[in-house]
Amino acid sequence: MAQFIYLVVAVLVVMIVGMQMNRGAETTLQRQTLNEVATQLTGVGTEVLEMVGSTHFDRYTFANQGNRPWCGRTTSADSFSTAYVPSRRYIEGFVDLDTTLTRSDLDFRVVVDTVEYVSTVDYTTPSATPTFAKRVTVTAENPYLYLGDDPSNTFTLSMDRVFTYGCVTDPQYIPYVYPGDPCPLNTCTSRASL
Amino acid sequence: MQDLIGHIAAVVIGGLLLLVVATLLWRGQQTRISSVQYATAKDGTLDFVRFLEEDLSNLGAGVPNDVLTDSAPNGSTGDAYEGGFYEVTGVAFDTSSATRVVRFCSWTDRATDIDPALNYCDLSSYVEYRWQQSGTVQVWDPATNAYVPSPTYLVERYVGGTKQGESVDSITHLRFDLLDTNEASTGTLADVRAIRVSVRAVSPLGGGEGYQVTDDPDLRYQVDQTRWTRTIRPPNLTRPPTS
Repeated sequence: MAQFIYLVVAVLVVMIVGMQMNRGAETTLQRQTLNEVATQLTGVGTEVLEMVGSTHFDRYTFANQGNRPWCGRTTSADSFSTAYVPSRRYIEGFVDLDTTLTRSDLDFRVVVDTVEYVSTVDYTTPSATPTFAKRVTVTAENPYLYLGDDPSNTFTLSMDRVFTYGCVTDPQYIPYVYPGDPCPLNTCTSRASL
Repeated sequence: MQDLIGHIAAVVIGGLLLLVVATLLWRGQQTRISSVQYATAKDGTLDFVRFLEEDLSNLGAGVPNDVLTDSAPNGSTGDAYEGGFYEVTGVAFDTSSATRVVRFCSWTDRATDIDPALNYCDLSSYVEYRWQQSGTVQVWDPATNAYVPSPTYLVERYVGGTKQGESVDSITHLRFDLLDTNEASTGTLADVRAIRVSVRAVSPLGGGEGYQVTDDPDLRYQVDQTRWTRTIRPPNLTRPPTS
């Protein structure tokens, strides 16, 4: 009888240790895989931020391309991407972007969350009035990355970047939007005429 | 007799338990090796892409706009120095053993590195990535559900013809996709506005012919290649025209 008890105990110990070790191995492998996905997730977020940054600061600056000396980011007619929506030629145009990009055979959902003016003194503080600095916040997610055991609890990576418009000393270049144009925060000041 | 049976049963069961323990230890060891291999592959890849990113982000620095967007600047009808690039050879394939070259202007000092005759960065300042097959590894191919041989590359970086760094020698894939303003692939260098770079690498620790991370089918889904992909938009390729 004693031998039988020893046997049961030995089998139990081996089983428990085995399960722990297997679990550790699986966790390690899962972590490696998720690390790969997370690396790609960061790359996709950066890609979208760079795409936003390669467009015009706002519609006003876009409309005046080539007519005046330029300090903004871009003016050449082909300098913006029309890969998503042709109207996304200036930063606000991306405000409702919600798309899925496929990179390395994985699908990543990317959303441009907010586009807001920020204080030129402190880029972390939103500004109620237009300034020469805009902050774009992008979120990216992939179904493989989730928190806990619930796949519906998707991990969302949030990235933001501040884009500035260079010609800040000349009042005529302070960014405004056209009357009637959508304004991301409803705080833009419309310029009556250009 | 009963004692004998008991002893035999104890030996058999004890042996089985030892076998299970040995298997567990072996598997644990494989996992630890895999972790180290993965971390090494990742470190090597990130070390490499760090300067690749910086170089490509500065592509076209110091080069006049009309040269950047002109497919035949200064009357040139050749394919040299278009759109910030000087030479792009065979970058879209990863199975050939031919030498691949990407050469472009970057980190260019307008005052000293621009050739006045060409109005372009001269040969003393271009950045060049050059790579060719250096070995073979076995990597897992999900399509065929088997390990297949894959070439490895050593990527060398030259600045002005002088070698200034190299990658780990276990890059298994390096591809540059040149994209135009609509994010479509283009072969016209002057139309390039973005470059999508994808890199894959295995750990350099076990390099050499026939190397593979593991042949254990239970572990075959592990990450034996690390991947990095990014679309880089060099600001110089989308900057405003000079008035």
